[in-house]
Amino acid sequence: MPFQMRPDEILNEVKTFNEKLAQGMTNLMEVGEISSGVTPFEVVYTEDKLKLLHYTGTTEPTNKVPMLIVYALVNRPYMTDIQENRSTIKGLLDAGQDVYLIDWGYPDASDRYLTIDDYLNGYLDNCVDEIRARHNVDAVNLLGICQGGAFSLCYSAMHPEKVKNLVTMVTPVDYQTPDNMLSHWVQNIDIDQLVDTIGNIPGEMLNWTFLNLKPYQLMGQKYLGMVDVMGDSQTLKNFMRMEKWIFDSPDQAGETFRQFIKDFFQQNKLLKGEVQIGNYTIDLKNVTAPVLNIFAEQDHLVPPDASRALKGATGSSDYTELSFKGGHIGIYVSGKAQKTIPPAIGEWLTARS
Amino acid sequence: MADWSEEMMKNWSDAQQRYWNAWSDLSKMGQPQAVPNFGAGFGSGFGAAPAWTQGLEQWWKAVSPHTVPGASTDAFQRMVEMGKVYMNLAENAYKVQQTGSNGTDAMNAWMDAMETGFRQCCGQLEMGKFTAHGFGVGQAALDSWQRVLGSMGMQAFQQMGAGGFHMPTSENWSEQLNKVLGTPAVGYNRESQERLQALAKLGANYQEAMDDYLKAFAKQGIESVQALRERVNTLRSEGKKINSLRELYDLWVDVNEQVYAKFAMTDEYQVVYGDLVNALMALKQGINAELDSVYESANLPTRKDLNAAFEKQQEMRRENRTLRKQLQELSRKVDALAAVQNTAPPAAPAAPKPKAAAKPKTPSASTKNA
Repeated sequence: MPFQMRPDEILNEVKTFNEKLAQGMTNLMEVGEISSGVTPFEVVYTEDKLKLLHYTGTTEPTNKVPMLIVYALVNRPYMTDIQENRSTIKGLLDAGQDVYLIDWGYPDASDRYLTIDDYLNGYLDNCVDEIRARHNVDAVNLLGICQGGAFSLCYSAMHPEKVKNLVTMVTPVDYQTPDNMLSHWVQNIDIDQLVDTIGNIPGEMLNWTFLNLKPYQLMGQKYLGMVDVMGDSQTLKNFMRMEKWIFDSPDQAGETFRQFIKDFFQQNKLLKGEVQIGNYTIDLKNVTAPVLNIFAEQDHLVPPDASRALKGATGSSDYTELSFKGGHIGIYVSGKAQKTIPPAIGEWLTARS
Repeated sequence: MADWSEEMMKNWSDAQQRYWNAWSDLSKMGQPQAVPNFGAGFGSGFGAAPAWTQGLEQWWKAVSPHTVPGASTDAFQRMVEMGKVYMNLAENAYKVQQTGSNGTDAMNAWMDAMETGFRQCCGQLEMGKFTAHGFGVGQAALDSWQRVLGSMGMQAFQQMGAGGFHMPTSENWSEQLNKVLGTPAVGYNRESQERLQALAKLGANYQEAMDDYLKAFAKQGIESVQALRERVNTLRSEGKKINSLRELYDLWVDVNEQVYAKFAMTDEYQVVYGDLVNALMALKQGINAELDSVYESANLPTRKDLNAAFEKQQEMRRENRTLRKQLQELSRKVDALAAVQNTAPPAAPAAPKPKAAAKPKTPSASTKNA
């Protein structure tokens, strides 16, 4: 029989678990404030709740075309700079890039009527213009992450003259691949009723959805596994950083959420060329800049096929794919990612700038 | 620990010490059948069924008031919750092994117990206890849903059963409720009575949607147990062994995730998930409407009023943005003109015929509609 444990062995395992838990509690209380974001930056532009950050590297950038990172609205962007030895930002600076990042802030009730048009043709466009003016260049390099990647694609289609090169990371393009769990779930939700009723969508609701993608691992096994390593203060601190990030979910501006879920997830309009943003109809064929599309093979949020759909969808004659053996978060924070992803982006951009 | 007061520290240390002592005593005794006595009221000494889950819970109750609220305590609470699931697994394994059963019987008894629990949930007999074994992730899953309710100002629903009303769930009861809600309203308060009936109906619909959601999970639980039986049989045929509780737990998680991943992609899940959110929103909308009518009667601003103000504010932001851009563009043109004037040679006495002014540039994207 596979299960071969004597009662005293079970008892011993229980005792060990409890000892670790009790000791870990003491360590946890000593962790103190969890810092987020490790690379120095200055705020070079603000508008409403938005801040445009400019990162300072230890050396001068070799690429004279500045890069703007467009993160998703659904989480905080410090995932890209989570700790000293796990920082995509630092990796990009080391690769010679001049890095800017948009911190969208935390929307409140007064932001309920912010639309995708406001975000892209307002905030994002203003940031791009600010960077263009600061560097006296016509176009910048855009790096869009997850939902920020979808936004970057839309922006590049609307303002191709302002985008020198486009990098998309774990970006959904086809929202209805057979393995897209999130998309499958939202098909039966009355989004109009949801937004009309509560206005902004609470971050807690998004957390609940994301955790339900792998509930047994994300709500259970992860915490049990943590008990084993709580004795190590540094590992514990790193775990707590991730915990902080996971549950640091801004509310979503109601009207933006409405359009994003209905047009992108429920009707898959991005791929069909039917998304309407302000006065523009988004046609991906208008994206003419070179495109580097990076996706994670074990991504449970954005299945690889959802990203691969970008191939052939744009009007660019210079399209490159980079596949990473890891998950949606691992692509920024894993040790393997640090060694491969930022250097690859840097090399690709420098060759085209 | 700078935030901790001296008294908190002492209480914390005492609680920790009691916990450690209980486990140390047990270890010294070397009695595998013993369980730690964590103090009066729980833990029952030698020879009794282990009460590890209870012990952990009591310990957490003793120490948690001395912790500082924040992300660390939240995370630790989740660890304790998972610890309780793990302790529960250990208790079951221990009890069966204590009876001297062989490994096969022990495993089967454990899986039978889990399957029975899920079947009871399916039958709505113990829906209130669903959280105890629920998703195999303990209270964590439902805590997450309760946070959603809290974030919408629906705290009143958090403590009610599994995120819904704490009401009997038998078919007969629902039928009776529906009859009451269907009774025509009469008299002076007819309108108000009708509104409240409609709201109660929305509440009942939400309860029903929550029950369906939980039942679907319970069904998935049964399938997971069946899948676990198959996995155990495979291990047996391959001559592999499970040597620790942790291995058993990891196997359980692995099997559950596989079964869940298939289940979550079914039409059934799409419907129960959507219905749950839709029913909650319909209820919330009903509550909002009731509250707004109360505020309106007190001449207080309503949600509708605030939304109108926010919408207007956003329109003004857009207008500002457009004006700022126009101003920047004009400023740039003025600067350019000034630069030309500064560098231009002195004007000749007789000026030549003026050239036509350049047309202002419009956005060049071919898809711009206006």
